Amino acid sequence: MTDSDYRLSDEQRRHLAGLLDCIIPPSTKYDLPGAGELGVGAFIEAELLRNPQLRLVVEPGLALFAAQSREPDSGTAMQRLQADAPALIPTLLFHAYVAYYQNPRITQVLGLGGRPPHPGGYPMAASDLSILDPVRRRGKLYRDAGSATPEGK
Amino acid sequence: MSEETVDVLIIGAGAAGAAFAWSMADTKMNILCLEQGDWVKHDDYPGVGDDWEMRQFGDFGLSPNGRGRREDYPVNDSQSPIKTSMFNAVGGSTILYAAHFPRMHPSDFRVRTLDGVADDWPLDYAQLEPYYEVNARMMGVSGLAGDPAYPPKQLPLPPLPLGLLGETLAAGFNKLGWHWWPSDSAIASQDYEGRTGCINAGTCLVGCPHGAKASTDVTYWPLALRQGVRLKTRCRVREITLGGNGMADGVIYYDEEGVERRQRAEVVVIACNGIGTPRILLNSRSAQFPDGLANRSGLVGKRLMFHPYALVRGVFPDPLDGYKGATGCCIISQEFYETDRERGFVRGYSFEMLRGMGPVFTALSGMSSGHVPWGDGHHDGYQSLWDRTAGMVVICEDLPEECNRVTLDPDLTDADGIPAPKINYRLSDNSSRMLEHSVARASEVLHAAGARECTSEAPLKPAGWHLMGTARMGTDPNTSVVNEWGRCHDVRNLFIIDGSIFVTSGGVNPTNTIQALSLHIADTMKRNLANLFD
Repeated sequence: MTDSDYRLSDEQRRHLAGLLDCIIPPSTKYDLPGAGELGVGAFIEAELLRNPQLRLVVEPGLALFAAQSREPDSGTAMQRLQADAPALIPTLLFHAYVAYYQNPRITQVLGLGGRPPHPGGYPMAASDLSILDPVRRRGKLYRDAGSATPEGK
Repeated sequence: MSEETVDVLIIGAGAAGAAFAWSMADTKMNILCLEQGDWVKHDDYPGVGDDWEMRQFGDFGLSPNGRGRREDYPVNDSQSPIKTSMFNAVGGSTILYAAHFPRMHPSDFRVRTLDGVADDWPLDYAQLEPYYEVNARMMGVSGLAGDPAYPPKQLPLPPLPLGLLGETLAAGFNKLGWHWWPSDSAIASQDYEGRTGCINAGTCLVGCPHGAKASTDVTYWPLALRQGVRLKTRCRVREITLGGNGMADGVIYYDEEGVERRQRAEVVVIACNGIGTPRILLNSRSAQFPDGLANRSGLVGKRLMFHPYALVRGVFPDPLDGYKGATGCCIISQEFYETDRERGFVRGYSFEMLRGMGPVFTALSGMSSGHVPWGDGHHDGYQSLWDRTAGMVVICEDLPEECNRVTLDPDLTDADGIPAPKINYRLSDNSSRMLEHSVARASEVLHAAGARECTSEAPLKPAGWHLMGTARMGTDPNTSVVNEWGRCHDVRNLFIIDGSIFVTSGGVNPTNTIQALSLHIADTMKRNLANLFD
């Protein structure tokens, strides 16, 4: 298999989504989906395609996650995963945070309209500049400096 | 090989080269500018995509060493605590600058006389003032008259909105009785001269697809080109050549295919700023100038000044609407700008307020600080930061020292094989004391504004975007490279018009002063055309 053919299996994708939901879980309080549910896995898979070094950490980590997720206590399972694959979550964290927080579904909830900043921008009202009155009352702040010296030294 | 000889050859199409080209265009001389970068298409700017924040670490990053663009040249800055930032394109670093556009102060030109340090400039504020005014009109500067930190000045456009974030921070300054003022910004607050007003998208540092920010590709260049100035992109100058009479007679450059070309010129003007300019001069060695062109003083490349920056942020209890508005152009404070020796240092600094972080940077920043854990506490942690951070940068005046310098790296080259620059730079004791003072004062005002906790980074590592002093101006050929109107003492048809001719740095963003200087130099040249080389 060449690098350009690299794909996770369906089973690996399912485990990756499960792991991502543990990293950024869904929240009813803030009306936010988990990272797995949001589809962050596709972003991670694209990173794995670009960077074979990541695969060396993620693929065995997913296998361990799959084995340990059969534990009845999910908290204990995650603790064991961190002990057995200590590089896995730190490796995924950066990519998971980036993919999650640039996703339009999330930026919509955050109040950014679920779109890039351009071309829409954001409305802002002009400010009441009477808040400058205390500064104006202080008066001149700069130093008079005279003219340039003839030598320019 | 081109046999055409142009009247004026400008190297570099950034802030200085653009202003100079526009000013000289009315002479109807044959003017050509060579630029190593290309035009940036506005649809290519990151702000039109969801991934705009992360592209600040990619093709629109600040460091030429990390962008991977052919038009960039590498800079060995391993021997500097402050790393180099610049952009190579039509518009130069104005493509990525914040467009914070303060002038220098009268005292900045007279630091030896007033404070007994460094050197006075060979010109003063009053001489540059008319060019600051022209530049404000040409760039479309927004701001508010009446700032007590400056002599009276008028600006063509009303100030950008402060927003809730700006008003919150302003209240902190008022509580302490400290100076603050709406920033002078080279961002159109309303429609101006064919540009549409700012839409508060907050992507200034990765370029403005809207065209409200005054990068010189949308201000000076269209006018200069319309008047007949020619601009060739993707042409990288290797060296300036000398004729038999000891005058510059042109340049050797590589075109976009990497083919070596020659361009002859009657006058050569360098506008490559504080690293690019000494690099070209040092690469232009000859029997007459074995240490680099126009370097009989030995000062080419020396006296490099950055502005040591600090970044101080606070976390506030309530949302600030901080994602709205121009990134770096909210309010400025110059409470600690002028010298007060009781503070333990000479000269001073500005505070410039920043908008809040975007959603991705909020997450990554929270990940680093531990505020945004993974797992169960994730969303509460994130929501405690989102739209609740505000802060400021501190711009400290950097005094010139000969040990801070640009040389040529013995091994490193660009894609055309031209030797690359190497930076040796250290923070002075004065700068270190100033940074320490500024971080304490910044935290004080953030707390006064309501911040519940503050973090700081000083010096700010990637903040080497103000590049000054490496071909200083002066009237004595033994202690300066160019005279008071940019002409090299050693080569009388060679001019330098960028930040490298700064004598001292002031404590403000330099672009407005760079452009005022280039307009002053162009005007002086036009007045002296009959005896330009006398």
